[in-house]
Amino acid sequence: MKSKLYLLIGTILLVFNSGALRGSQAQQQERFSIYVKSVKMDSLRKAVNAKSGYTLYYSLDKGDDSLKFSLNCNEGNIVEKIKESVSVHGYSLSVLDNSLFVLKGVGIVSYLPEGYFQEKRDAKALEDYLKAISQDETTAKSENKIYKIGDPNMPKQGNRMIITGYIRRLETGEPLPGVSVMMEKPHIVATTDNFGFYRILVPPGNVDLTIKGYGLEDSKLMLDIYGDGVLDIVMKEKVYPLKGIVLTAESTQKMRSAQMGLERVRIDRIKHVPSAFGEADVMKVVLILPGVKSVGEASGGFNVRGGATDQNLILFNDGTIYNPTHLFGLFSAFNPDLVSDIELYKSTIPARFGGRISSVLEINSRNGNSNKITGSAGLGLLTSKFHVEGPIIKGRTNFIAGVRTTYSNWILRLLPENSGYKNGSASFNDFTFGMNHKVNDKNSLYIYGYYSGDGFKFNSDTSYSYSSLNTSMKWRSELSAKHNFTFSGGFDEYKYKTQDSGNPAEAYTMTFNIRQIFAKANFNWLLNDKHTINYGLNSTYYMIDPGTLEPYGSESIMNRRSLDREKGVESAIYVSDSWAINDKLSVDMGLRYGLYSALGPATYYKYSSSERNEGDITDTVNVASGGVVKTYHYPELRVSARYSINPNLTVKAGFNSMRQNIHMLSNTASVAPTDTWKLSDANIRPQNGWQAAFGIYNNAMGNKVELSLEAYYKAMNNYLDYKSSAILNMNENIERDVLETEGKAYGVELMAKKPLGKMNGWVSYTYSRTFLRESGNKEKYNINDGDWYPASYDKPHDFKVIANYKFTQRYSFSMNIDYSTGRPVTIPISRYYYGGGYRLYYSDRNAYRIPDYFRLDVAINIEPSHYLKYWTYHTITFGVYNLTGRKNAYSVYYDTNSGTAIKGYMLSIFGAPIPYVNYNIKF
Amino acid sequence: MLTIILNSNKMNMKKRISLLLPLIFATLFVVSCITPFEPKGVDSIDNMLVIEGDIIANDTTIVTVSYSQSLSNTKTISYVTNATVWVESETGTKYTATSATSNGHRIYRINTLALDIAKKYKLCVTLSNGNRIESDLMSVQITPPIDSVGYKVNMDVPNVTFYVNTHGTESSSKYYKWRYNEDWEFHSKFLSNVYYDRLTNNYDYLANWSDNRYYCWNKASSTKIIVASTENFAENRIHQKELVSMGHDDIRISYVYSMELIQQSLTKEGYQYWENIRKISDDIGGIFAPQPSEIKGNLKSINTEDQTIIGYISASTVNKKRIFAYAQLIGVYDVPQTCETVVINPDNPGNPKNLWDDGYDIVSWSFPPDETIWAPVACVDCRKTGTKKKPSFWPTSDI
Repeated sequence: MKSKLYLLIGTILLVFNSGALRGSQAQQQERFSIYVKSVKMDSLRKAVNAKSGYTLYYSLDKGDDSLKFSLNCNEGNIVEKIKESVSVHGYSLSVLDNSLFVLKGVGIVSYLPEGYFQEKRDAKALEDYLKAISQDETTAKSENKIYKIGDPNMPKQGNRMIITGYIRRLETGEPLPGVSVMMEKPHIVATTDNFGFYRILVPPGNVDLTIKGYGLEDSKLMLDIYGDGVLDIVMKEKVYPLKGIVLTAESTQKMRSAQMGLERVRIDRIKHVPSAFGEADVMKVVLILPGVKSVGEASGGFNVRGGATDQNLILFNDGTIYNPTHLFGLFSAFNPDLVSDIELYKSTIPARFGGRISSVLEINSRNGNSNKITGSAGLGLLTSKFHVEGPIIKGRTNFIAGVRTTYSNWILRLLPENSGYKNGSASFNDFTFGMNHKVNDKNSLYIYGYYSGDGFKFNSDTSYSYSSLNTSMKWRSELSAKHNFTFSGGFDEYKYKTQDSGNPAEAYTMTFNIRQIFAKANFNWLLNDKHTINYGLNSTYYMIDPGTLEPYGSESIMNRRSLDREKGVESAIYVSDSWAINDKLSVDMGLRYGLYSALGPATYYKYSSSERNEGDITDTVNVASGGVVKTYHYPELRVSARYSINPNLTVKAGFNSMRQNIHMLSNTASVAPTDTWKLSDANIRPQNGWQAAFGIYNNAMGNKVELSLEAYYKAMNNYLDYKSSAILNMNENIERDVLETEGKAYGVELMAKKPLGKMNGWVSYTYSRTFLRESGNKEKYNINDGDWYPASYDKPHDFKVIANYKFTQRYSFSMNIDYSTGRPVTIPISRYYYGGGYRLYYSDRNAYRIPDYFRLDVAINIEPSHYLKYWTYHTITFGVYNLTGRKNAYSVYYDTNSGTAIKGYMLSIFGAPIPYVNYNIKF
Repeated sequence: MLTIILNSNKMNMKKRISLLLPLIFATLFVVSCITPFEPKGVDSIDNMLVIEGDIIANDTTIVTVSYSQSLSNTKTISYVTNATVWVESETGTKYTATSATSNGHRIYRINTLALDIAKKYKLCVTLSNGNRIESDLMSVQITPPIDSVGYKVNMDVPNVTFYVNTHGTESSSKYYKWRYNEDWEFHSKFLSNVYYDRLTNNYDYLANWSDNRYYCWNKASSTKIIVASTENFAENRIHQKELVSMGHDDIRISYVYSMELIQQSLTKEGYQYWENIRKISDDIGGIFAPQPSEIKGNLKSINTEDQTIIGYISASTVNKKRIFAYAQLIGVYDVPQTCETVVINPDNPGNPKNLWDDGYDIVSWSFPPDETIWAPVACVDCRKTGTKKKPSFWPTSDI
């Protein structure tokens, strides 16, 4: 019975959107009788459906479509009679409510075996299955079913037909992004977008389509195509076979698309990566991808291929996230229960993205279960979380919402009385909301909301808080079969506030905020089988309040000061063409033209020298409200090409140029919660950068293993460093304190990946270097005499292993190895006596390194049992973070107070093995 | 393994955060830790010239010239003693310094200058090898008087924090630097009116009370850099700028404490220089600590262009204020209970010589019967940590 069932639901389930193909919904009549003799099955079906009130579905084997059936029945004995009639030819009849199924062999059971699905399906949920095996009178020509698209009586002229549709997950009805729909000969491939939508141009006639998605059962579909049509596909989540390997969509995409340097990680993978507190952490997973580095494990930022932390565009449902972490970088600010997947573009960045010069990290939230209301709750050491999702209007409107909060105050209460922190408090929370509504077959509407807040209070006199707020709306429309359109718009805000009342006379509050309003229109146009055009328009209006300092309390003598609001508008138009020249060669060409204007009212100075000292002011310019301070416009080029040497070996090359108009100013190695952001203006020029990359991709060992090598060279300009005495907060003339810096980065990333199987994961090794230097031709340089120095995240050797071993369906073992060269630091190299004590004299910037970093994490995951009768499902993870307990240095400091010999010390944040248990409940 | 650095002084916020994170983990899992760090292949520099000495228009100018040392060097400061040092005005008038030793420091002193504050001055140093170093020409910053020096007691910690209040005018400098000289009187735990003479192996009553080993004095100077700016304030006023904190076991506040605070106005550049040294020497190492980087001073060698000379020379007047603080009023100091005593009498005979050699001193003598009480010398003789040199300005009659 079980094997039969695998057979049934292991295949792709199809839903034809054309009404005629759906089962009849005729009302049940009071009395009826049916008499047919020697008719084909489809005629029998029609007769039964028309009269009985039952809906009959059938699935005939190859060659059986010419079989003839007879039936003579009435209301009372219809089931038995049909059973008799079909059993003659070796078929069985199964009954489920008002549905009848004619299938070869034993038939289907109207219930599923225990332990297979996580929930018991009612008849309505089974509709998908019913539709899946509903048939028209296609003549079977091969061992697989052939599905007919278009009207055979009125075949469409032309050599290419458009098939469009959505690919959804069977269990929840959620759209599946990143699934490949491919035709082998001629080679045509389409990938579903974030809405699960695909569009493929295929020749008429008999067509084999292969459908592959990560973690999904691979499937082949045979189509008979007469014209344009819609084909929705429902796919079943893969139950990993303990033997046997299947080629996945990821490798397909790497081999078949000209896109380079795209890393996609789905949440189920993220959830298996051991983390410091057992909480699946979206941002920490980014750090284990090849080419991504950070300055240390408690830092919020990440560096992609030598880029700075502010050069990554982090998008959560199109909203820009300026600070993606909680607790100053320890946790990511995204609730893992609501995240579908992350995509990191580190090399070829599609033309539709712009505004940052290093990478784009897209975090996509899930759409929510469209079948029924479900949810989950979780308990961890520091956080608790809850989420719920489900349909509002079944088939049209779904929602998903989740909240996380912390209760870490108790930790502070455990601190010793005299620590000064006992009365402190720390808290964070985040809230995520998503809703999608199908307006009609062609139009859908999506609404997203996100809030993340952090608060920290020191012993009653210093408090600190920051928050992100994002709201966005997206409208998706299929303009025609070949043309669709997405419009999104929204509002993003990031702000922080510090308050210090330690000395009543100097008590103050300081606030900072960034607000932006954006609108994006993106068109996707399938021109013909060779060209897919993407074009659109982006516009963002920025407002930054760089700082308002207010006295706090009546005794404060602090000056109320407010820096002028900065405004700017950044717009871009773009067009790109994915051009499949032939099976072997394809090219993606994109051009983006950006226009940025810093807007008034503003007052700025003109300087005679690049040092921009106060004494160098030559002119003061006032720009009225509505006026333009300065405009920059620039083209950006995004080109990549792919050449397949053979089906298992592909080479690619790409070139990318980018611009950036919003800059983070930070004088710390890691991302700090007081970092300020600055828009380009008359004195601060946009950052720009380009990257050239080359890659070789090979599928080895019968497609079990994907091997890849990517090499890159990257250059950047106008990155902002700062002078030694720089004041970055509350500085009216910040241009005097910053230094334009240029950078160069290069590296090679090697990766072997085994995406599926009992043992799965990847091994990667990266050799990369990143150097910076103060730009310009100056007489006197501020940093390192104008010579190149390594960036704080320059870690030449980097070795990572992510592995997961499945013992059984329920038990798996995960392991994570992270090794890298220690990061560069600036250390004292001499001491001298000055001002009554010993002082330190420091080396050139980043001239030394802390010891190498090594960490091994392990975890055992116990997935829910699959007993249907349970109302809830439990996931338990046991793990140890930093199993070897290596004391990895985070930072170094020197003690000048004890005696005369000056000693260096390293601070380790996770200097011992950290065991954890995480428990989640799903309902 | 677990070490937490805590500083009861007010820290800036970033430092607090950086301390807090390990603290959170320490509490949770005892995982955050601090281990020695000795980077390999460090090219230590041990011969950079260091010149300190602000030109003080209304008081003694003291200049020190020394060389920097490698970090592992545990020797004392390597002074340059054979240099020629002078202050030169913009019109060429020279005020030459004389070499001297003060509190163990080798200095060059120019006695009370009465400089024309309308002129600009520079500091010049010629080394024995002929290398001449000059500072930029600096105009004299006029320092406002100190309004008050006070202290506040926090019994929760407990500690006492000394602070300064001052103010300038709208047009005067917004940048301040302080240093202080401190003297304190303290006494040993036991007052002894007898003494022991090891040569004769005898004890006797003190002939002169001035030979007592009970009252002593000690002195020190500020070691931390104390600077402040009123740039962000509505008025040019410093309110309770913290100078130094002392805890319950700090001998300085055990009896009578005196601080002479010296206030000096700086230029913005001077402030930035000192503030940067303070930051990179005291404030580094935290998770959000700023990246250290050097600021060049205002000294350069006339002979060799690219020689790095550490130091920033300011020119200003100074204002001083002395205060006294009494332990009884502060109320923070706890007398340590660590003095055990040994009694020698006919029931418990002992050899005073052995006791003396074991580090004991006599506390009292009574007879008959002949009984002496002995205690560790640190509990009896304050001269082990202090001197009998009573400052001339001292308010008590103790000798």
